[in-house]
Amino acid sequence: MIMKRNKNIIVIALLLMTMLFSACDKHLNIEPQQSIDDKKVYTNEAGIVNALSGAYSILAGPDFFAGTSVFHSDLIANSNNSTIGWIGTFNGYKQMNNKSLDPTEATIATKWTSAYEAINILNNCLANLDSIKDVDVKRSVYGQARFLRGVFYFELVRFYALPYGFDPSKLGVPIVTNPVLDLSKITYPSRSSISDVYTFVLNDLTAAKDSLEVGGANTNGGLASSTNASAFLVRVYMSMSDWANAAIEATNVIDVFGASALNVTPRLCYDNIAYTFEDVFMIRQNLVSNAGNSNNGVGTFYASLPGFGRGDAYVRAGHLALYEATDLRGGLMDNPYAKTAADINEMYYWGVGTNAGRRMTVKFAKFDAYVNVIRLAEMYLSRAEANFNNSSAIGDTPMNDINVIRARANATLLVGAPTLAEIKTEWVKEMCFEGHALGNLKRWKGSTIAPSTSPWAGQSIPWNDGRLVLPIPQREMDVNSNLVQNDAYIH
Amino acid sequence: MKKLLLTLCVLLFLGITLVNGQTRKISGVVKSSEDGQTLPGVSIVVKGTTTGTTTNLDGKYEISVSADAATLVFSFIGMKAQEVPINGRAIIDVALAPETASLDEVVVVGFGTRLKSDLTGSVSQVKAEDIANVTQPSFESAIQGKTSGVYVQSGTGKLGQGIKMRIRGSSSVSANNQPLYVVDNIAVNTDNIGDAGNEATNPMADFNPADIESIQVLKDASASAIYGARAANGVVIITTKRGKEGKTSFNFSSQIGFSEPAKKVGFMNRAQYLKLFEEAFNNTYAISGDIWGYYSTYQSLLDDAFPYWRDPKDPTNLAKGPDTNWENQALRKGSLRQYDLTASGGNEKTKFFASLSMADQDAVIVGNSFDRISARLNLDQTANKFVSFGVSLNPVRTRNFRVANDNAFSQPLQMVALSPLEPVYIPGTNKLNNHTIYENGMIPLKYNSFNAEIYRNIGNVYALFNLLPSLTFRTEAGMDLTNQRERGYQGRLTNDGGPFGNASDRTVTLLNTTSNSYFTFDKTFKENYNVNLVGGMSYQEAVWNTAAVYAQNFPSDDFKRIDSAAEITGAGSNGTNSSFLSYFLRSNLKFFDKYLITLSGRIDGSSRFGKNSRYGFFPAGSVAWVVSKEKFMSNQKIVSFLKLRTSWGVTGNAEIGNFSSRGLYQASNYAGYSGLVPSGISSPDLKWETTKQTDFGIDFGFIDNRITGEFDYYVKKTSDLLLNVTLPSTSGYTSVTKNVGNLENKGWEFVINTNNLTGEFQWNTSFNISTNKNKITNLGGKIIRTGIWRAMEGYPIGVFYTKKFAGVDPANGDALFYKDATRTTTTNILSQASDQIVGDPNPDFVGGITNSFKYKGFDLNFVFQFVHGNDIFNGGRQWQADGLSYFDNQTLDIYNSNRWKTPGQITNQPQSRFDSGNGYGISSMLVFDGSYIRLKDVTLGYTVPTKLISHVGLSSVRVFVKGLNVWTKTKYPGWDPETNFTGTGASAQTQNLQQGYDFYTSPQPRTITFGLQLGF
Repeated sequence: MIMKRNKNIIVIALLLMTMLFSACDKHLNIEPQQSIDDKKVYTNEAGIVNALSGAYSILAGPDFFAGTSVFHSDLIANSNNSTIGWIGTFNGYKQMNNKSLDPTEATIATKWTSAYEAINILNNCLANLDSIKDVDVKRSVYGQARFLRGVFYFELVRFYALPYGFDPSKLGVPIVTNPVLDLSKITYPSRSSISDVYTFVLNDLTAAKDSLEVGGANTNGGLASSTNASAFLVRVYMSMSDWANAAIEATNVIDVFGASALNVTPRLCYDNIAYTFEDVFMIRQNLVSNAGNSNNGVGTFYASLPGFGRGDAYVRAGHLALYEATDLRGGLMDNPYAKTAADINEMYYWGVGTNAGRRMTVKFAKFDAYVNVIRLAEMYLSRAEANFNNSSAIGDTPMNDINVIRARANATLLVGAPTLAEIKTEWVKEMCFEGHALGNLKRWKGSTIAPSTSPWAGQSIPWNDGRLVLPIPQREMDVNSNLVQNDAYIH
Repeated sequence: MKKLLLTLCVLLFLGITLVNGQTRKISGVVKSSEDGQTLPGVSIVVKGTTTGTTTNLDGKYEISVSADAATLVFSFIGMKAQEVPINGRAIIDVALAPETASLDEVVVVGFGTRLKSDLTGSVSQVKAEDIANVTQPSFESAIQGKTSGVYVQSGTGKLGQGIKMRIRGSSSVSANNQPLYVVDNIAVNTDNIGDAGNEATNPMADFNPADIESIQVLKDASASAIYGARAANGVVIITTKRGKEGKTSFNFSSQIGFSEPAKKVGFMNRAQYLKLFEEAFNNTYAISGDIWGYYSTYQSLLDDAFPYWRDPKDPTNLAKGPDTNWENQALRKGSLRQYDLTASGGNEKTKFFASLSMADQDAVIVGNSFDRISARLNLDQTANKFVSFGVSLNPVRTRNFRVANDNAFSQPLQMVALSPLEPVYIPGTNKLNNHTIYENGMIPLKYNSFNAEIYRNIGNVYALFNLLPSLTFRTEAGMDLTNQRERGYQGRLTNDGGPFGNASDRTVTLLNTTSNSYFTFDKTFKENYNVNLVGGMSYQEAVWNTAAVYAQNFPSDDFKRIDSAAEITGAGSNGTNSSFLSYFLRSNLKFFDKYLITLSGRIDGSSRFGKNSRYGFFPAGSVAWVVSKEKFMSNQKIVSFLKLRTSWGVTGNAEIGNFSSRGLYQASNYAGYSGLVPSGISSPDLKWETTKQTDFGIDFGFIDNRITGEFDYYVKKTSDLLLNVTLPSTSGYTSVTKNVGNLENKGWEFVINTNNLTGEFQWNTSFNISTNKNKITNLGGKIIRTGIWRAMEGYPIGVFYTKKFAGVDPANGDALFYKDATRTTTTNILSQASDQIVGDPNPDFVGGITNSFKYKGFDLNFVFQFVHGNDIFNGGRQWQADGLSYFDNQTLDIYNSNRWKTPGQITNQPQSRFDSGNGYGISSMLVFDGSYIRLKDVTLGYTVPTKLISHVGLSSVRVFVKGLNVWTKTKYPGWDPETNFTGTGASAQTQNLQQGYDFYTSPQPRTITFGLQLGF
């Protein structure tokens, strides 16, 4: 009796365990809750549109216009601390100010890796366009993807390669167009020439320009438009010294807006949580989607407000001396009770947060505000400079274009044709701290002086010097033997 | 006792009823052989029957036994049970000896127990008394120095934070290297589930150390392979206390302690700061002609940098003015209180252990405190001859009032960066100084809070079926349910919380369920052939859910909950699951008590493994030969025990991330546009890491086992390393997890225990030392890096790879660095120096020595613990010791150093230069030898004689005083050589590589505790 009962228990226990197996084996198939299989993404319109948005979110991240595209440019070009005083502790940025860069620095690596991550998404979008049935959507996705890819490659080539104006045959960056979705598709590309990368960028931006609708930042909900592509073409042509094309594209942009589109005062251009009249292309941000407010994002370094900004980069008095007294772009406000950007109605303020007591720019005083990438004012400045160099008056004369900007700033209007030096000064006064310093330096074939903290303290470093070019990130050099490091970093 | 119960069960099961015949009376007194005191509450049972009694308060007993009763069994908690033949006596007095480490101890192995003398694998164990009165929040640091082959490192003086435990080295580069923890057969969560914005916390801090009966560390493959795919890092088996038959005994213990930082580094005071600042300023001025374009005197620079540095009444007298010791602002005297109450007892059917514990501590770092309230009930019921069952419940609430992570300006110890010229308060006001070069840490200390509140219950139920005399079936289900709530607030006056306050509220619920079902067959054939088989299955599932809300803009700092916020800045919820399905079989064979063979195998399947390799097989085998039981050994008296053993086996590491094998896209947000971005590329062959371990061991005992010990040599070879293989990022992906590469750990362990003196004055010594040599043998040509830490072929994991300091140029005081790894040419430009290996955080050997003395009622215990040959990277000295490259205050050793001042001077300390960073940056200047020896624990106790207390109803009274981290000898110049900042939200790989990192990391406390233990 006892034995029989025990036998039954044994049988039941074994049966239970077997049943448990079949039940449990199924439990080994667990799907993630916050992600989807990559193979599903590019098979339908919604997936491709989402991936495209993903590429925008990378562009909006800390490695581009809401972050280090501005900051790397301004720090590397900063001449002997004359515009920016750098007092931060981030070694990578300190090295940029010193013109003594290190290929292992994270800030140098992430711009590269983020750009190529986005480029791969865009390559996948472009390769799977046929999954989109709606022709309008398809054309729009096509145009936006080419626009974004062109912008990313332009950011790469202008930071990681010598200036086009020096020698376009030098090494640019690798051009990758094949979409990668599994390991077998991974390649080890070598660097294309600067001119090949420029050609690629021009093709992408031109294709975007030809397939998207015209309009400023507000027409397409902040997504790329034909006008945006023209505006970036202006930047590309300017850096190639292709003055005529730059002036033509700038005119294309200006004509969409019209002269009256400039904001009433310079201060109105910044710290907004919506598009303003003169925005050509902006990075959208909000409370939950922004480039950062503690370690990343431009404002982290450029602001000194309670709870926002480290005050690492302050504005030197010499910079403010550029402005005449009436110029709205040069006002300095002292409000020790300032809490937010809204409390500051001038373009400069005395810092009240971390590293308080220094002159700060107000341009990035709100971490969740939209970030200017291209403002209409830049188009006027570019056209003026292009027409000056081209001895032409495509769209309008340099004097008129400069005066549009000066009038808005309440600065004295020019009464005759400007000199190149006056155009350059206008660039600095209008566009300072917006990431143009390095591009301007290289376009104007100028030089910058290494500060006392630099290993080459006091040296004047010319525009085409390799030390003003980011090194290829060491992590990339380690993994891809086809890459050649920039000369300045081969010791 | 256990043997007795087993015997009882067997007898009951067989249905043998003992015929009652004539009865007679036996009486006597039971004493302790140690101190001669009488023992109340000792259980006396006639062997083979249920007839029993207990001793009274005076240790006396009287029992009626049947005429055929042959043997009495005396048992008492903490004492060795004794079987005494009756031999017709009417008075039997007995002296019970305390239970000591012996070869007949029962050792808990996975899914069963073995006698220590029958073990064929390598198992270290720690008993309850070794970890009694632990004052740290979790028990791991209490076993430091007490177990060979186990390297425990509590990385910080902050309470309840992550602890690193390495059993026989690091077996993985990218997967978790922490051992598997099993509590009463149930695998529990030991992974940090705290907010990624702060350092990892240690979930084992939720576990009351006083509930632990024993800790077994399964080290070699033979011991651990029964846990298959999760055993490669070793297994820590924790068994909690359970009730024993006998009178209900209560124990109360109370501890009150005081702590201070084990060390203060020491920073410059006002006069020293001014002197060095002037020197550093003038040195730079002499080279560059100005500082930042317009400062020509150091005082004008200080005027701009520090608004309150001069004395307002006497501004030109530089000797007057603020002189703040910021280190003293950050470190304080801590305290602790701990109360434990336990009750245990039972009868032959029902046994219970119940405990209630309260612990409360203030850390030596300001702003950090920890408390825990924990209850436990372990209940065992014998329902009838066939079935017994039991239940364990262990509800706990833990609260950790935390400070910011080490790398945050608001972390209190970062205040040492502030200059002594900066006052804490604005002079003439009671307002905290908010014009300091970095945030004044007193502001976030006052206005910020970050509280983790954890509710956890580790519980299980089991049923045991006695199917045949030799066959049992046990089935059990357990859960580890954690609910962790973290609420943070950052005040409006702080850098992080300004201008209007920030708050966060995050909840994690983690449910780990396990069910085990297995048969145990144990039978001895023909007296000399013992077979023990264990076979069954296990299923485990972990379900994790989290939700968090972040908000800002509060009406005032009085409001701290999300409801009062004007803006929600972030909200999210997410979840993830994983599961394991396993089958195991183990056979232990013992022939003639001297030939031992263990074979085991386990099949593990997991949701984490790629489609192509879902199940793995993990076999192990071992043999042992008890030489001392051979005839040829019987004629000598010196060697009392000698066993040779060897084992080989395969274990795995499955801590690879729940979905690492999948190619996935995750959501991204472009300010209102939802999007998708890749989160990983597919790796369909991904599977566990495989570790093959070989172990040779000798267990020995000399002179009646007064000297016992173990020696082990092992080789652990891990293949199919889970590596985050770097990809060319031009592909759009930066890394993929693949099974590439090999590494090995080799080492030996030696333990010796001696009873130096026995009798009235007892002296026992236990010494252990272990080495481990870790070497990465193959990474598929890749280099894996985290900061300066690297995994590289041919080197141990986590070597420091950065610039090598080459000394100081005697001509000009420049810091020099080697241009390349040959170390022939130097440069004064840091960025032109090449990176190279400059340090190794892995110790050459670790160990400890414990001495315990007993005389009459006194007991004295010392534990020394040592670590030798490891390097530490002190990241904070980049600023604390840069010769005033910026305003950061400098350590006294820099101030007192022989820094370069005149041409021709030979020194290793570069010329101090303000703002020019002479030697500033990351280099081997920040690397130090981290070896140390520490008097970890010293305890002096006195047990009051029983006769003095028995009349007030007490059975035992012990008072003690205990010192923790009393003395440390090290050359390390930072706060504490036991340091390990792992960063925030650190991946397993980062934690594996980033060893020996000190970054403004809090020192360990030096604690003096006074305690009282009462038994009644």
